[in-house]
Amino acid sequence: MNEQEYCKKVQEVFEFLLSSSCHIHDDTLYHKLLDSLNGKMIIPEFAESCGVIDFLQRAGNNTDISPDTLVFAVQLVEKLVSKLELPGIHLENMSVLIETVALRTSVDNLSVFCALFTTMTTILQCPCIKEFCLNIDFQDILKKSFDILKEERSIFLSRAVSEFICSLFSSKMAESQEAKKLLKELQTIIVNFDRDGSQRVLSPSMLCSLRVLEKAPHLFNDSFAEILDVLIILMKIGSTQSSTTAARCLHSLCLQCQDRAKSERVKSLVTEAIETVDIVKGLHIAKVLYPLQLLERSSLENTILEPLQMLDKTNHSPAMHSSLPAVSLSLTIVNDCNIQKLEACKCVAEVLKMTENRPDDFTGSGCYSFTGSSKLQIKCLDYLGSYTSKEVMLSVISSISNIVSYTTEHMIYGKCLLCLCRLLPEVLCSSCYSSERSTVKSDLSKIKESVQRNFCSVEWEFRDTSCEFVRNLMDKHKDKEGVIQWMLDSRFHVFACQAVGDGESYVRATSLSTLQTVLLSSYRTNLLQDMNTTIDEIISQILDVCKTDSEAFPRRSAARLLHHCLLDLSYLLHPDSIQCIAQCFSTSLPSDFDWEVKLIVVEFWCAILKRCFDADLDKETSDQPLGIVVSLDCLKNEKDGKRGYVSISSAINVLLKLSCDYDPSVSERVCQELCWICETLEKFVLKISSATNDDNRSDWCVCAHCSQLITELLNRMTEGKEKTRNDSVFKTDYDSNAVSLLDDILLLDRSQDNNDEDNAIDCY
Amino acid sequence: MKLSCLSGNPSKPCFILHFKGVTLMLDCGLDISQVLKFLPLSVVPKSDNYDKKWNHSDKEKDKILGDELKEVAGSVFVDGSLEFCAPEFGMTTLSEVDAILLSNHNTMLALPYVTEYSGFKGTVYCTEPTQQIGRQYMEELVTYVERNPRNKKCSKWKSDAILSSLPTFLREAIRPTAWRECYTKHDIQACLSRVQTVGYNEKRNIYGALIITACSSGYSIGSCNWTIKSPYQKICYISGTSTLTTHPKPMDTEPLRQSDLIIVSSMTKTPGYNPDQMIGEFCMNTVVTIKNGGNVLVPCYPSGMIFDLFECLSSHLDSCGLTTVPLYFLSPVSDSSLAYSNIYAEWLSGSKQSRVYLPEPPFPHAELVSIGRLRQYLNIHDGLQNDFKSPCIVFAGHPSLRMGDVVHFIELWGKSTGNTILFTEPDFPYLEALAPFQPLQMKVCYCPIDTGLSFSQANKLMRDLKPGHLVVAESYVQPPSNLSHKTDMVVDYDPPPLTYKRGEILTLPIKRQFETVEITPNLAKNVSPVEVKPGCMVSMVTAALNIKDNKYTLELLPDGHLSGKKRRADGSLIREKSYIWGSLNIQSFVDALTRQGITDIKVEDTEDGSIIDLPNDDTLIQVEGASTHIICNGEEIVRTKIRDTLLRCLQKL
Repeated sequence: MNEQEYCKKVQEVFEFLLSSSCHIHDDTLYHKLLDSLNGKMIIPEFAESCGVIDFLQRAGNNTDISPDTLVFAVQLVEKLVSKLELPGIHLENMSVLIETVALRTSVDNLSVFCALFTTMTTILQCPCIKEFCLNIDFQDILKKSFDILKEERSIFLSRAVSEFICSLFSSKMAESQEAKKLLKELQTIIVNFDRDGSQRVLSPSMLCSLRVLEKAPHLFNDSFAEILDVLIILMKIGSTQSSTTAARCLHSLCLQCQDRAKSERVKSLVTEAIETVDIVKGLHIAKVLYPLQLLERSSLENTILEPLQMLDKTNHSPAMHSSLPAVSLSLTIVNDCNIQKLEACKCVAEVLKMTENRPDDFTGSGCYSFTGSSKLQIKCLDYLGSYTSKEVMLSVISSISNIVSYTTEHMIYGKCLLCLCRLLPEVLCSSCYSSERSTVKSDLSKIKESVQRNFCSVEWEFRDTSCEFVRNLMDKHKDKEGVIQWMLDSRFHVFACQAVGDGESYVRATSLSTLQTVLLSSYRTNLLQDMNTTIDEIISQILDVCKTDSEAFPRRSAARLLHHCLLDLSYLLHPDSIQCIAQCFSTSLPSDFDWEVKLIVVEFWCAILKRCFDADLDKETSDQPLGIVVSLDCLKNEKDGKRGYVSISSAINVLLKLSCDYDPSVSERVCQELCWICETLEKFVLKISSATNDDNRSDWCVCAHCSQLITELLNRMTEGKEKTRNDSVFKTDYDSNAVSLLDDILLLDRSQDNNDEDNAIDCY
Repeated sequence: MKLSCLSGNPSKPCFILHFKGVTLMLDCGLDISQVLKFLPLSVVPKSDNYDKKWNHSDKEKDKILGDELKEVAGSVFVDGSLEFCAPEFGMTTLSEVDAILLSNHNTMLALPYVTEYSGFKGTVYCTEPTQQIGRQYMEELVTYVERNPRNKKCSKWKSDAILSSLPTFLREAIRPTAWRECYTKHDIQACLSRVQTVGYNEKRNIYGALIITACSSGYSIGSCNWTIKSPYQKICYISGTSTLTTHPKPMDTEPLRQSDLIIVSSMTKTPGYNPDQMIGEFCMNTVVTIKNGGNVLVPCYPSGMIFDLFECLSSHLDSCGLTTVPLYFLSPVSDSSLAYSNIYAEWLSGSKQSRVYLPEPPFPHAELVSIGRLRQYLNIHDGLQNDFKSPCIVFAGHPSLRMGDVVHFIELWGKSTGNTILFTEPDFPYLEALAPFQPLQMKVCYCPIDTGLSFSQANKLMRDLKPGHLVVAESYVQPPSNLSHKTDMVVDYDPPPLTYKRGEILTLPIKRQFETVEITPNLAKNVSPVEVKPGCMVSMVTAALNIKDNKYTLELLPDGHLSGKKRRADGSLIREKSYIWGSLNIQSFVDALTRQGITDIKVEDTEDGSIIDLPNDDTLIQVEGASTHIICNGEEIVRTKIRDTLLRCLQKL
């Protein structure tokens, strides 16, 4: 369809939208139409020719227009004004529409007003804003916006208006008389804030005023003292919203403040506020101020750590029950603000120590209300998992050993193990570990027992977390002999790898991933010895998982494991195992139900091809462990029936098969890969043809199978490219055919249905 | 109504209840914990461990003692045939016991001592599974004792003079002189032949006086609570009850409501341990040991919780990928235990019952047996050596570790740190049980699983059942000694529960006020009842009260007596007297008085009735709801006239 026809169709659609019979229930059609038009309108003339300008003009005058169409029209104005340099006459039409909507439409129509203020916010930042405002009563619009704020209507509308007002003061209109008048009113709202503190939830108008204050504090210089008072009151209210807003405003005031005395006054008032409010409110304020650098961080840290330090001084007195919320909040802030300092670490370790006993244990020392508190434990472990100083390391290990021995929450167990994973290298290297009197050995032994027990827990989450722990240890500390030795002595690796036969699929998957990590490390011999098995037996077991496991997660992990085993450990494998793996990747896995398994198959064969090509291109690498890969020669040997399982031809065959997979993610990925495969193969053909004599070349070309394969590959790649260019997984029919959207909208025109006899008959 | 407590262990209860002229024995538990004072009966003839004689510091006493006591790893044990602490049967005359009600297999092991050695002539009531499983428990016990007997009977150490000077462990033995040797298989047969089995909610009449009913208690297959009802009283006996969902039929609380009194026994022995968590611990520790290449030994009884252990453990082994680890179950009654468990579908939980309709065996252990994963043997010589494969899990009796095949396995595996012994039965303190095997290298885990009522469950149940009175063991109203800070671990009820302990007789606070009496048709014909209020008719009856089989019947007087005439004990006649009833109609009364010539009658209404003033006769008549006073200061004749007039205005029988 040419442009003219398209424009005609668009005009028809506009006609329908303006008609009183227009009822489009699905508002996504409006959005799609908007996107479609936005994509096509590159020049103002197009907007004119397809009737957009006319539509907007008529929309403003039409009183019967549906609210959804009005929203569409307003949004269309936003797109046009922000995108195109429109002539003055068009701008005038659009400003008329905006003014009509702003002044004549009822505010109850929330969606229209939301769209209006969003549009105005965008237009305020456009170069043509002044010209645009020439034709509208800007004063009225501002008044309307301010009224809406005060009336506290829908939260969405308030937000849109608030955005509009904020952007006004950073736009070219900021200096206008109307804006100055509005600013006065905003100042009044702040200054007249209810000072007795009863108003805990801030009104939209107050919030908007504070936002303006935060963005442009210099505009409020006239009433600095009063505003400062209000901000301090807001801060003292203690709710997160008021504290955060006030803190940001104060920070902004300080940044913009040229007068040093004023800045100092702000700081001293804030410090005083923190000291006078109760501990929980003080913590809220400190939390907000910490990232802002309004005050010295050290003084804020003191405030944040105060509840924790008080606990230490009171020596775990049960009388500290009331401090539980403060301690909890303090720990949250320490975590959120990432205060990685020795003092904080000591406090956190101390709290962890107080929680380490069982919840029903009254015999140990510690504050009763903290004993066994999982909430506090999680917070402490979160912190200690990211930072633990050497001074508290042993205390933390001791607490962890107690917690893991009884906890029934796998989250806590997991965090304990993460923390342990981080600390183990230092603990095992510390002098305490070798000292006879130290308890760290018994703590680690207790942890060892608990982890072993949890490998066999009734709850799968514990078993899974234990396997994950082994994987983490191997991943993070494979070069730290002490850690690995401790793990091997504890037989964790055996427990983790035995879980391949676990009843829960997630555990099987994690176990297989752990097995992969262990096998690919230099400690695989320990595993094989301890499990009294061979690598080929393990491979056979994993092949069974690939073929028979009913769950996708273990199959994915198993496929990944086989992939890495074949590529990195092929020199250890028996040829039969290699053949079984290759067969599995050629026959069973490509027809797996799970798309991710198939993606692993694609990755596997691509990796094999890369190795093949590399081996052929660089003779030095051809003697590398992947000697099992029958390289490019296999293509030529096909005709002799010497086809190997791990070969270029089998790789290409599988990839060709998967390129037609019903799952678009798989087929798209294969098509992407086919590009470089084709390029490389073409290079090979060229290289062989130039480097060898004519006879060899004829061999290559004479091989019917090879030439057929390459031809098919090239065809598929071309198809794939075409498909990728035109299509995308996320692309819809409307994206590829804009007219169909217009047709669909027109189909909704019921006025035509009455005359359509066929439709009437169909209905019955 | 009296209740005698014969047992010192509330988990092995034995009571005598005197109720309405009937003497009932409630349960007949045998406290086996005293066998811990003895050396184990080795399956393989005597090990060197037990040979060291214990020497008394007093040479005189040492001489008397001879070699009765042996020392093993610092503890002293009796080297003689095993003896058991039977209930205090001396508190009552057992031949007068009319019936014995048994709640479950755990509370009947002392039954042969009653039925075979006491002149007992009554009937024993229990459910069929209780009878069969109880038989298995008894037979297992007798087999263990008789299989490797220690024929020497030791009694010198029991004399007061010596006992008081022995180490604490032996010194604290309760009345060792009353301990008895084990009964025989013949006793078991004879004893169980007296049993009459009952179904749940089946009513049985005890000599016409009481109706007893068994209702499901949810503790084990066929376990029950008893309701004992007379027409006007209801007593419930709750023993071995579980509100948890395990394999038996769930507890039935409905029959236990509206009772005057509830007697509670056999609550959990391990209130500090949650059964669910313990099963988890059990499974976890088993798998850890197996994964480390060790063997697991589980001392157990031949029935009950073991079925749940098989089920949970096998599924957990499956989920941990240990599908090939063998489970060996050794007991002289292992075959009948496994077989019986699968035929009692109607006594099992709903989920187990529904499996039967598939049809599948209700317990998964049937499948484990069929695939050869669970293998049962009567003893270690029953072909176990041919199939034995390590690592494995062995379930063997007896949980006291003083007899049975478990003794052999501890001796076999005790020296290796890789093996684990897992205690699940809560009847015996595990450290005392292990004492004669020390020093022991194998790991020891204590995961007691007792599904009996916990204190919170019991309190909740009682709040729901609302009995008039509650009778519990003395130990249930104070926190357990090892958890003294747990003040919530007590039975709490209003009115405060009555408590019992060994050797105590309680007078129960239930007074019999009413009795049902039947009237023979002949007597009924002569009765002329008068309706005193709607639905209530009254009549005078003179009859002979006949009591037979605890049934009361009113019959016509025998011919020799003058019918209808009341007589004193000496035969003299009692003057016939009529009984007046009804309320006085003031107007009729005033009219009647007028007719008697009394004039100038003034009636004044008061709050409670009326005052009639007869000024001419100087008389006041005060008529109230339930009384009439005639205050007459005048002549006696006036008083009599008024009285007679009043009586005429009322109705009489």
